Amino acid sequence: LKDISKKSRIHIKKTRGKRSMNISFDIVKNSLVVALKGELDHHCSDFVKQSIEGKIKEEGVVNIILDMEDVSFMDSSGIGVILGRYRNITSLGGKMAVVGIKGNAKKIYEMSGLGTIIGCYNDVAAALSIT
Amino acid sequence: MEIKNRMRLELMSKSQNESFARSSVAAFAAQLDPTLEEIADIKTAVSEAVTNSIIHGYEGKEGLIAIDCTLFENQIQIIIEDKGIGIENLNQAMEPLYTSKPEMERSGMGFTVMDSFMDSLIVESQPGQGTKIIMTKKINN
Repeated sequence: LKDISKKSRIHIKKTRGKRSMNISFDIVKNSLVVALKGELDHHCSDFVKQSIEGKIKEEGVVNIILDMEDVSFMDSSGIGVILGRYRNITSLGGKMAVVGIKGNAKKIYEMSGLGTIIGCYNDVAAALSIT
Repeated sequence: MEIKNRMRLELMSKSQNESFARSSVAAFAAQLDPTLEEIADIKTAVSEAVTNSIIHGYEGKEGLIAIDCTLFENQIQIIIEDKGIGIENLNQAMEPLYTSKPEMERSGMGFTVMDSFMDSLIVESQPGQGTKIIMTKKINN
């Protein structure tokens, strides 16, 4: 996994005090690994949505692995973003998995019922094994 | 109940103020020595209420959101108020998973999150006048 990551690591960095969210992408076989770092709220939800959707089209990947290990805050806007990506990718015949969700993000994730729809894994390697 | 401290913030209805609002209230609430989980609960509830005012109350247009926080011995009260369009059908708005803006990928979980992360939640709304949210949380310091 590490070797592939090095080859295809693409960074979209948006800081300059404007956003508190960074997104980086890895492509492993036919899966897009999306690593989010920061706070997932309404303010960055469109940016996250468009970045992921754009990357899926560009790379023609089939599945999404959403790595949330470094998401320090999430409110219900995040549920909308995750559910929206899940709906889109499954309507195209793909699969989706979430990795490393914790703290308050996990609490909301479980409360919303998303946990029963989208599998949650401890690491990216485990999530990739289902795709 | 004796008031220990109080603060008031007024913000423009801009989405970049969502993180400012929740961080400010969390910093103020820290005076009650809450646990990390209690702080996260408060931040989340404030974020939901402020986001609602921006998206639904003012529908993306310019307006002011007032946040009033009062600290008691072992409780925080947070009032978040806007002068936006108000909520026509409050019961429907508070139903889990109901959203008036599905095209915006809203989850319809805002009030459910506020209700479960805080100890009490009161929503007062008048169509055309605005919405006022009163939430309290006990902090066992």
